[in-house]
Amino acid sequence: MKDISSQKSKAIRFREIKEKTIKYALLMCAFTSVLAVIIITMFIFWEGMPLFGSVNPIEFLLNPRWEPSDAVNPSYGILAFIIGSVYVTALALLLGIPIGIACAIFLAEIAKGPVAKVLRRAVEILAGIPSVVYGLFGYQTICIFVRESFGGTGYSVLSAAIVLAIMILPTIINIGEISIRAVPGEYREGSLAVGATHWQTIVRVLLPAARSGIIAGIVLGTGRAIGETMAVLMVAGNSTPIPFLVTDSTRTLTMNIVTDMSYASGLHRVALFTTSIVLFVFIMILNSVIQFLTRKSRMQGA
Amino acid sequence: MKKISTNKTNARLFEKIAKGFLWIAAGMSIVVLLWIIGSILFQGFIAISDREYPVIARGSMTAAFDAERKYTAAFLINSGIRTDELTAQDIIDFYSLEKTDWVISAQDLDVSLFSYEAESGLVESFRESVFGDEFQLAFTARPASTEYEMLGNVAATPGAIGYIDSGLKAFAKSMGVTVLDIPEAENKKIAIIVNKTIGISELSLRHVVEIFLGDERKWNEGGVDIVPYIYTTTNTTHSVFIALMQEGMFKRSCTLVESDHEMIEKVGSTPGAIGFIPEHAIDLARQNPNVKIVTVRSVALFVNPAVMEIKEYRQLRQIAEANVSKLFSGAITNYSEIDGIDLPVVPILYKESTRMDNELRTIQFPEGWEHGVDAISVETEAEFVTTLSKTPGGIGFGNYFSLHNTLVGQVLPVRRQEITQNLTFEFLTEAPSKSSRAGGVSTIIGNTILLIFITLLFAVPFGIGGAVYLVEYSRQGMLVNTLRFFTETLAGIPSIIYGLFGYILFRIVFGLQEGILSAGLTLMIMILPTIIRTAEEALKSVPKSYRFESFALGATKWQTIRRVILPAASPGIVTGIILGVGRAIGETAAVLFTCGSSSRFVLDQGVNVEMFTKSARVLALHIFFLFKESAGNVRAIHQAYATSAILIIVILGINLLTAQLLKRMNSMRN
Repeated sequence: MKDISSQKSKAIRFREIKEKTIKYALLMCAFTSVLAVIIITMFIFWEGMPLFGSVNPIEFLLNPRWEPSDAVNPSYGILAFIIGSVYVTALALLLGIPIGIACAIFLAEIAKGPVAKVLRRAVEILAGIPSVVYGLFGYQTICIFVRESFGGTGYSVLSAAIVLAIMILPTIINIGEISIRAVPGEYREGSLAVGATHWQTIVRVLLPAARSGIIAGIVLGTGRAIGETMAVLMVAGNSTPIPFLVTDSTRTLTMNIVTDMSYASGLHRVALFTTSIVLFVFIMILNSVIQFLTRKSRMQGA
Repeated sequence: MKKISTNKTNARLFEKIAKGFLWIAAGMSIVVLLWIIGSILFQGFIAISDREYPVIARGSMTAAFDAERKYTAAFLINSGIRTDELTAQDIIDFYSLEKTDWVISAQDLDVSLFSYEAESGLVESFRESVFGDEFQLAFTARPASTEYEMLGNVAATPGAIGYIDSGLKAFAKSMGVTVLDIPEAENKKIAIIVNKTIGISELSLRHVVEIFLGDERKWNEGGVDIVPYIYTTTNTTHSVFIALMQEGMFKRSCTLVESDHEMIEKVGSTPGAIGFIPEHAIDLARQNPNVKIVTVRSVALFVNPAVMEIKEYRQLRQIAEANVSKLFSGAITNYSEIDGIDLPVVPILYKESTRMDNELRTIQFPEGWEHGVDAISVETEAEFVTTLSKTPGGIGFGNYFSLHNTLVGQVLPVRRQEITQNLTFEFLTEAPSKSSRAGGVSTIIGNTILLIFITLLFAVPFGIGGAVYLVEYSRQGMLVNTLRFFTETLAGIPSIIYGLFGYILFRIVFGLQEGILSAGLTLMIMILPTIIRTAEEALKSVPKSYRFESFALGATKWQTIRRVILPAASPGIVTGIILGVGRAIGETAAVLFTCGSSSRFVLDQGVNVEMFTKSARVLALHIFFLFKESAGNVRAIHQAYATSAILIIVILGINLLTAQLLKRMNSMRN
């Protein structure tokens, strides 16, 4: 009797150990992403920070002259690229937001049946197209369109912005639709009950209520746009001066990293990692804004 | 009362306009998508290119080597070569060894040349059209002005070699020089002579060619220097000698056959072979399925040099095919109408009664042809050449084979749009070669599949494990919030940062070579958030009752998860994995620094440890590299489109598949 019970307890203990082991193994899996974020951050800073030993951070950020291979007087200024990134992204948002939000409202409030299905499928496919394919399309189609309608070489801020606007559309539409749908039904019903038209309800009630979600979508799209590399690389012309006109070609932060990485060495290469720190900080700020907004919209929704 | 109703109408109108805008926006999104997908697929399957040719489009089965059709040949190629048409320039390039592979048919195949053993008028006239009267003589050759001087020099100089009329053979022997025994030279009534100290009495024509090309410098290992003598004045002996050297060149580069029958057999059995047969043997060749007779385009547009001069930044460099006939019908009377300089067009045409090449005739006298008003008529090729060179603004059709050597730089290239199939079956099954100018993407597809496999090998366990922990084990709170925060953050990091991170961690810290292991690990971290998020949703959607029932039966937590919850959530989990694949397959920036660029298949030396750390190009990278190579290589852009079309088809397939899975999942839940 005693024997059996001790055997049983052994089996149970074994089982318990197994369960515990599995639990911790799973915990480790869950921590992979935490670890990844920490390691990524660490490495990017580790490789990029040494630049500030020889270049003043202020100068790095505010000097528009990027001539790292100049033998006599090398200069590591990324102001032109920061401006390029911001310029391209802002223009992309300007083009993408109206259409994106309109589509989101359309999907959440107006479209029914097959129309909604087709649009939703279209948005999904748009999100799945690889950026290098967007780049090829932009290079062969949008750049030519821009060259013929606006002049210049076609490899320009505007081309990049158009490509990016298309690329961020799915993000804005998806999150926009979700947050409009998340607005409690009573809001809509109440508004209609007091005699407001459907459109008035959308503009005065639904959109304000879904505001933080929509903004979160836009911010997420901004992150996508600012971090996009291949598509922009293929259409923006990749020239180092500060762009002024929309038809000027430009180089963004991401383009700077890719372009020089293949041959850079020494301080030049460090400067590329420093460029990625700037990009990373941008993205992290945007990320925090999104997390803040989604939490806010979740609380509103609840 | 009335006012209110107008207000109402206005409001309704406004509402309609506003909703119309939404419809337009939605329509625009769909149009943009269709535009992108349509343009990628269209150009992926169909290649449209503007190409420039020295000859005009129409071609005939036989090629004449002069306008009067004294000798004509049909060119035949091995039927494995994917083209039905060659230009005179292509053939000349092949036989003069300027082009040695079949890049024109986008194949990784070397050209094998065939010619006849025996000399004939056909072989000679073809050879003449390939080389003209050119032969690159040795840089070190010394001069002689007469045959007697040549004899004297060769007799006096150790190591000397020269050539004389074979009528002077006896005299040469009396002077003490050795006359070499070379049958080909004998046939052409020419004698190759060498200084007697060299001590040889025969030499193959091949060697003589190498000596006069300057490829051979010494008579034997460590021996006497070769001293070739050539005539400085052009005499008959010299031009016959040049023809002899060209014969030698042909014999050096071609496989020689004895009969038409053998020619057809050999071309049929050698991959990449090209040969020619006389016109009367065409029927014989048609009986052999291993060869095909190609159409040869050999009519070119020749112009007076004045036409292609540069004046005031204008120059006529080429002409659109559609404009060619207009020059002769009088529709275009001045070159300035087609971007050239201000110069009147003067057409020069053969008289209709002249005996001429069929192709030349059909181009000059098509049905319903109306002669240009001011056309100058000529009767022979020689007359054509002299008239053309005397007439500023002169333009006319000529046989490319016979005239390209005479009228160098006077060919006006013709531009035309060509439509070909782009994404062919061969594109999927052939390896890329000749830096993407030929072949397809088979090895790259292989690399991509392996990369995705490795990525999933790491991403799936970690992703699902993480999701299981988040849903099943952790209590909501700080920990889950933190984990979720980091997962979201990870999802927001741009792929270029992943690329840099992968580069630092796997290449610098771990010291791995670029290859599918480094790239796969980088991609794994990238697609982790996608898999975790979808798996989380799927796990959450499994009804609570499943868990309780399983526990009630005495199952442990892990047993419940493994046997009950994971199977129930599997469609959702699989959806997440497929979405991850979709993301990984198109990713470029993240693998740019970790995957490498070699277009060889990583398994080409079998399955071993090195396959993980071998530079490997994947589809998305291939598109980017092709894009970078596209300057001056139209085919690169076509290939980029074809590769993109493959990716798009995969993405569409994934989209369809996930939609089906989600539908099944929803119906199960209901």
